[in-house]
Amino acid sequence: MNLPAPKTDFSDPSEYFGFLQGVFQGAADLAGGALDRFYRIGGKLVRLSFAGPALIPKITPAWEHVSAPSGKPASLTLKLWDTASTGVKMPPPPWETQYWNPKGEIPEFCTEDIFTAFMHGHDALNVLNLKSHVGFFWVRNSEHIPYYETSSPLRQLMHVWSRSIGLQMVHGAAVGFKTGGVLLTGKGGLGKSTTALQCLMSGFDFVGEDYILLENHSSPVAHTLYSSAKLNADSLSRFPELAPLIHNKKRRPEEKALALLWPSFSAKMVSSLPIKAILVPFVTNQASTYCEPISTVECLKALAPSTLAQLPGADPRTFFGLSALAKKLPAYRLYLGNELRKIPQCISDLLLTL
Amino acid sequence: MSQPNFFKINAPQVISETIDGETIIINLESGNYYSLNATGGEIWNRFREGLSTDEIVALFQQRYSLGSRDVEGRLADFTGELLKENLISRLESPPPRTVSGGEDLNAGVSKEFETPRLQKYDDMQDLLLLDPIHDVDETGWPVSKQVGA
Repeated sequence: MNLPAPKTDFSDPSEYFGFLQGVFQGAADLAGGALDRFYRIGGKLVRLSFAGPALIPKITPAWEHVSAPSGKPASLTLKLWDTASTGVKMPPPPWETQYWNPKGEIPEFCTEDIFTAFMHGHDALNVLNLKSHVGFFWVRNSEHIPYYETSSPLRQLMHVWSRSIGLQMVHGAAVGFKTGGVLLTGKGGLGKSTTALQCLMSGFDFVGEDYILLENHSSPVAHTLYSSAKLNADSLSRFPELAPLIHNKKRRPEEKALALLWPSFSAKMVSSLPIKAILVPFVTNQASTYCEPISTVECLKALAPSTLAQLPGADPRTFFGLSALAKKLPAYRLYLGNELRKIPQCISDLLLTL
Repeated sequence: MSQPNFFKINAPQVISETIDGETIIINLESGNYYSLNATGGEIWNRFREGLSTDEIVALFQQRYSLGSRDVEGRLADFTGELLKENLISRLESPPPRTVSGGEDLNAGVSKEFETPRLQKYDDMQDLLLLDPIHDVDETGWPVSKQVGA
C-alpha cells in the first residue's frame, strides 16, 4: 500500500513523530489491529504493539523471562511494523542523507524530548518520544532482522528510555547471589560471557550476559534486560548443555549461536541483584583464576568505551554516570585460568570479602 | 618570548575524568579513548582551567627547578599529540578562567618531572566500523550491504 504523497519538510521532530503515528496506524489497520505484548523491565511495564505478527518472533524471544500480564497502563509503549508483511511503505526520510552517522543517530531530529536513529545493519528506524513515552520501530522486512537484534532487541530505544527513568544500560554481564553480585565488563572476546555462563552453570543467580540495566543509587543494582547468550564455536563446545537452547540452528557461518536461557534456567534467572564489585576479565594461559585490584580509571577504560561505542544516544551523561558507578565500587582484573570450573569459586571467594 | 598559546578541550565530543591522578579521555565521535600519566593529566586539566602553555611551563619550572627549554619541548610534543588526535583546539585569545571541579590535580605528581604521555586505544573502531557502506533505496532509506545481499 502506498500512502498519499508524504510531507517531507518536517521542521520539527515532534511533527514527524506525529506523522509516524499515522503510518503505524495504517499498518496496524491493514493487519487487522495491533498485537500487544507486555514485559516488566527495570520494574516498569513495557508494551510492545505490533502491526501484524511478522516481527514478534524476531523481537520477543529474549524477553520471555520478563513477560507480564496486560491490563495496567504501560510506562513505555513501542509500536513496531515492517513494510514487507503489512504492505505499508515508509515515506522518504525527511532529513538529508549526509546526516547518517556511524552510530545511527540523526542529530537534526534529536531534541531533549525526541530521539531519532537509523540503525545500519538491520536498517531499522528508531524514534522515541520521552515526553509521551511512546516510540516507533520500523524495518523494511522482518526477515532482515539479524540474530544479534533478536539477542538484544530494541537496545537503542531501551537505552534512551531507561536513562530517562534513572537506569543506565551497560554492555556487561551480572551474576552473583541475593546478597551481592558482580558486574563483568569489557569489550567482546575477553571472557565476559564465558565467565557469566560458567557462573550460571555453577548455581549463581544470573541477570544477563551482554547488556544489563544499572540503577546507580547508593547501593548499585543490576536489572535484567535480556535472557539471551551469544556463543562462538569455542563457547558452544564449552557449554554443550546450551546446544538444545540455540535459537538460530540454521545460522550462517559468520553468525554466533544465540541461546535462549529461559525457561531452562528460569530457577537461576533473577530480575535484579545488588552489585558489590566490577570485574574486568582477562584471558590467561594459566590454570588458576585470580583477581587483582585495579584503579578506577583502569576500570572505566573497560566499562565506558564499549558501552559508549555501541549505543546511540550515549553522550557525556552516559560517561559520567558510568564514572560515578566506577568510583563507587571496588574494581578488579579477573585473570581467567583455563580451568573454567574454578572461575566461579574465585568470584564467590571475592564476594565473601566485600 | 613567544606569544602565549591557549587551547580548549574539544567538548562535548571529547570528555574526560581525572581520578586519583589518572586521566581517561574519550572521543565520542571517533570511539578512540586515551589515558594520561599524572603530568599529562595535570596539563590537560590546566588547559581546561584556561592556562596558557607559558603559564604551565612556569608552573613546572618552579616545581621541579628545571630550565624552560627542557619543559617547553616536552610540552610542545605533548600538545602536538593532543592536537593531532583532535582532542584540543588552539584558541586565538585567552579563554575564561575556570577551576577544575573535584579532582586533585596534584594527586600522583612525582618528585621529579615526568614527561607527559598520551596512551591511545583504538580497539573500539571495529564496533563503530560495523556500519556498512550503504546505498539508498528508491524512497531514500539506506540499504545496508549485508541486508540487501
